Amino acid sequence: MEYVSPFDERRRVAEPLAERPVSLEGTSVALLDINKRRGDEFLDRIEELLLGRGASTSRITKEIFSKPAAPEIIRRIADRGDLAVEGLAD
Amino acid sequence: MSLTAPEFSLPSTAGAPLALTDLHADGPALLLFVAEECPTSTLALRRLSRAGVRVVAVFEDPLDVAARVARRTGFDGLVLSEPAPYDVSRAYSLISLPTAVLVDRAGHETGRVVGWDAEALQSLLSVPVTDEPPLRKPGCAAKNTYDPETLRALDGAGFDELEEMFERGWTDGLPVIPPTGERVQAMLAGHDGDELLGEMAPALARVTLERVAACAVLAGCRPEYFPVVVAAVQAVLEPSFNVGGQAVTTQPCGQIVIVNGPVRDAIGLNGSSGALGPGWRANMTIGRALRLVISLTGGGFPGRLDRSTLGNPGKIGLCFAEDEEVSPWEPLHVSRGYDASQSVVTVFGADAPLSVSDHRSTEPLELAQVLGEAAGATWSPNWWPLGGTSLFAICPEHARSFHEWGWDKERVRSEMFAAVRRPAGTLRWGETTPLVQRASDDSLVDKWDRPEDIALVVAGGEAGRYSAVFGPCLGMDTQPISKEVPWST
Amino acid sequence: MVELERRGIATAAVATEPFVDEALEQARLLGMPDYRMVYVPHPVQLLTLDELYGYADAVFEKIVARLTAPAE
Repeated sequence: MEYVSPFDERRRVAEPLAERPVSLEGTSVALLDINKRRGDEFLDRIEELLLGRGASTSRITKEIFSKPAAPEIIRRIADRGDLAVEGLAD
Repeated sequence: MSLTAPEFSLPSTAGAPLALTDLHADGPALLLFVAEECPTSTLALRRLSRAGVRVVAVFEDPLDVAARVARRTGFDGLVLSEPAPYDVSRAYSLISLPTAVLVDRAGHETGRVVGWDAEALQSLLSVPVTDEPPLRKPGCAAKNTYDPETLRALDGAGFDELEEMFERGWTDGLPVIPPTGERVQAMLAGHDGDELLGEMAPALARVTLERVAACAVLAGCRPEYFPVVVAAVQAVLEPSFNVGGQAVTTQPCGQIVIVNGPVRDAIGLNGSSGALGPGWRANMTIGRALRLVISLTGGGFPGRLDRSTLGNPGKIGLCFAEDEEVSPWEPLHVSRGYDASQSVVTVFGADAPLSVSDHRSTEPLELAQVLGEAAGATWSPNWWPLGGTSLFAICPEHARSFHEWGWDKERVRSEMFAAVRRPAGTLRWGETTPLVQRASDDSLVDKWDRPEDIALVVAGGEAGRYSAVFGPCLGMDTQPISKEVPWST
Repeated sequence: MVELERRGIATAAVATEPFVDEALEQARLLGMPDYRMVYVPHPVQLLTLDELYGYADAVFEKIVARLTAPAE
């Protein structure tokens, strides 16, 4: 019996992840705060630890956690940095 | 004593048909004759997955039914399907199912067990078979023993369409109407199924008119309801509604559909007695169709990407008509800029309704304050200001009273806004807002950021003074969105 | 995070444990089925600052592992 599916059954071609550097030394890491409570404090500590590993850091916050990050934020991170840490989703 | 086991070739879930000679080529094979409707067969399938020999289930059912039952019982042996009139079962002289027939490498039958009999199977197979009860259970009549009339009546009865929908996960937990090509075409009524309405998060699925029609069929809509469903989907696809955020949140919110204009009568949409509850096909199925688009097509399925902690009963669907005829006020769609003669759908992200009884107030400010204070506890008692919309369903008696006291909708809104405020000092415990944290003890905090955050519609029966306020949907940057019903049927 | 990965930015996204299934499904839907997140225990809202820092300390090496590749 043939039915019309309510789902979009397209198979998405799996895309590769970005390349990774061998170490954090000398990299710049953007810390993207998704703007849920306690996220900034969590990222404060991660930032401290990253600095201890020889990375440089920058902080960015999403306008609202429940929507995807605005294109300008993505662009800013992509232009500026090598790496990103995003948090904290609870 | 051994007899040559009768030869056969039957369709299998392995892809190509399998013959008996294939099955015992490498060693003894246990043929387990079973059927879906036979509970003892199901028991045998569960227990005989590991039998020390190759087990082959021969179903007196269509192949897709056989596959489904095998999956359900965790049976991982080979699965074959025998068509009516079950000549293979007849060749094996079956009387009842399950019957287990052991065939050796040379193709001889070396023993059989009828029904479920753990001890007999253990001696037949020389491997431990479970010692879990029941150790013995009789089976059911094999279908080859049925007379031709019964067989004809049973043909196709093995396939249960409604169960199939549950198996596929195409539901919200309630039975659905299978979306056959015919039903979907009837729902589309000539409109182009490939028309793209947008992409819906979180699945980033392409929401085509055909997929919306499939959801409308699943939900039980009549084709006349379809344009209303389409308008609701168009509304939630507006970026400022943020349906993707609502679909994955831990919050309880669902999506409430309110309909104005001539389409309400045309489709029998209820806005009076029991407007928020069950009983009317248009109300139940339109609300449900939207939720199926969001949870199936869009990917916001409860327990998976939808992480709502408790959910709310309205998430099965909630759609009602504003009772414009009984309301003394301007209808919702006119307040939002439409002409009274237009048919319009407005969708709100909101939680379940909280009922507010007031059979006592004799003055408008009193009543407004009662309704507003009830809203005061929504989301969390001390979360002031709310930061979102409070949608009120005002019952006809309340609306009429306001009107008799000389208050229109705007007046109710602005007076309610001004009346519901508390000193910050009383709100500074539990979950409270940054504004309350910062304010001095005596400064007064409003429940709402502005009067426009209070939305009023009139609905409900003529008797009884119960209005309701819906809990808000917060942190989503969501706005109520209105869309004109795109065509009439 | 998928958007950033597409642009060549290696990311480590951190969530609390109940989000495991959701994150895997979301990654699959967005076209990067191999994407993995880093998890801290749930809940976090009521932790003291020291406790929250402790969670950060506990997962830092996992974050580093997500952001770097082993030397050939």
